[in-house]
Amino acid sequence: MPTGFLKLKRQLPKLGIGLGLRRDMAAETLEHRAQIGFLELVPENYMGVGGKAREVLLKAASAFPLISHGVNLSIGSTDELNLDYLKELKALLDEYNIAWFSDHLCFTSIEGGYLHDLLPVPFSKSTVKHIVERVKRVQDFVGRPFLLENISYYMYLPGQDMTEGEFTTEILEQADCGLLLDVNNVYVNAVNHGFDAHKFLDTLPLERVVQIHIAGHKMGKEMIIDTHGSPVIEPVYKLLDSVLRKTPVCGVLLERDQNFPDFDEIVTELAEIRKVAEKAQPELVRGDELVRAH
Amino acid sequence: MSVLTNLEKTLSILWTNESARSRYLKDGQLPDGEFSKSIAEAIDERGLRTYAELIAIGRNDLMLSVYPGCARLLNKKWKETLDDYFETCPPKHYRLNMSAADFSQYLKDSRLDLLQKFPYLSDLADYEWIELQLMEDKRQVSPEPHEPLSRPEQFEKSAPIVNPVLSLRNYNYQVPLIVEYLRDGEMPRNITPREIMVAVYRDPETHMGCYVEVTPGIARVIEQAQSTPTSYADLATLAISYSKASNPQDALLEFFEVVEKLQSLKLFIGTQAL
Repeated sequence: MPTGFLKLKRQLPKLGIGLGLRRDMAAETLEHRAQIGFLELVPENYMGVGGKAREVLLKAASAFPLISHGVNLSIGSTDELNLDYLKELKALLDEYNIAWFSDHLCFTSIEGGYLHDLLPVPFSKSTVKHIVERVKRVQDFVGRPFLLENISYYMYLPGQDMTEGEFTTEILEQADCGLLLDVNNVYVNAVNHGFDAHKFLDTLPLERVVQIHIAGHKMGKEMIIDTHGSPVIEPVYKLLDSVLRKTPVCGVLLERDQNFPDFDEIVTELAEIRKVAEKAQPELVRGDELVRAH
Repeated sequence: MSVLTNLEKTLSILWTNESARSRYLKDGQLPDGEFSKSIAEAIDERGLRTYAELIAIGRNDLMLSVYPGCARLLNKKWKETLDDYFETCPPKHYRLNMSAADFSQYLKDSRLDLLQKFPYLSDLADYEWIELQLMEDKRQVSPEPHEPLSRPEQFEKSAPIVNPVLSLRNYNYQVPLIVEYLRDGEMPRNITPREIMVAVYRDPETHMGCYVEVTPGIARVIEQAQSTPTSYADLATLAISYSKASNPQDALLEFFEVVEKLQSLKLFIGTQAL
């Protein structure tokens, strides 16, 4: 009998196939309600912000289910949790009645300074202990289901005594939170660090996956980089299919953050993702259709 | 300091500070670390370079989007300036855009070398920053109808509502002209010191940033109306004291024209009873 977060997961809405709400394509996004099951906002772009951003958010909230995906909770940092940040985040989540919120399994700040990048932490037992305690405090404070996302990392940190799979599993189970599984990040890490992406998936507690991220990447100088700036490639779709066949999820979201194409290309990608989901997990897309019809 | 703190701090320095990174990559020397040799040796150099590049790209993208004019002006000095800016003023806010907030002050405080060549640089930086700040200002603006000032008691008993998302800026150079040059792909020419006042505000309907150069008299009227609701009659008295019109009647007519102009620009966004 599932308890805690797993029980909670069963009660979360099935939002279907969604898209990240981005300023550069906000107008087209809002015009394509029929093709988009839900929107994911980056809360830092709206916390304490008015003007056009708020106007877009209000329009989005009136037409779409919204979820929140933060970038600066800095859960892996040894800085104190930023209470001002948490208060503003909670206020935003409450105002828009957001079903779940997420952030990254990484650190973004140190000694009060923000690096504004998703930086890796060592996969170690002491880091697990540190992060678990912080996740519990965040969940208690915000009072909504919380997911952590696996990041793309471009180096292993010294002092590791666990595999990434063990590390992630320990944190999610001890903190009793959910997983936002980014299948593009899995692919990028597998290529850059030379492991089998599909075998890696089996080391994760997939039953905790509530949401999946999918995106494109590009070749950097020395490694492939998770840019969210190009189309999703076939091996990443295969990872999506594989996860969807293994565990029920509540949403799959396409991330596009730069190099914005004609919006028709985004719509085509969303349709491709929906096709994969229809075959692997039809109930996810049925939920999406119900929401959009409503 | 815990091992994790030490690691995060050390890596942050290596990722963001080029000379610290070069020292490490050249002879393995870590900045103020308390690491064992084995940990120091285990830092992956390829990853170090990649994160350094990603953080630098993110910072450059942000600063280019906020300060396109300064970037054009500084040209080859731009990268070095950014590196030093982020070293001097590390971002303290979780909102990415706020990382750019201190650039004008940084130029004033720390870059006399650049100001000697471009004395208007910090004015330009302020001008470029303030637009973003106002566009993101959380205050919501709801314009109300303007009542025509047709009766004397309205003149005495009503006051303009000033657009709250407004900032009056004092510059030592003609920044709008400098911006025009730079937008046209030209370097500013013959820029001599000349004090100007600019009202920068957010249009309540389009949410776009707007700039209007104002005279000291108009600036004073706006300032007064902004600080406390002030009747049109009192504002007229204030405006007349600054007017160069030859008689009070012309000065009053001038004031009415100014009010209409401020209304049409949406600097005054309504009328309130006192």
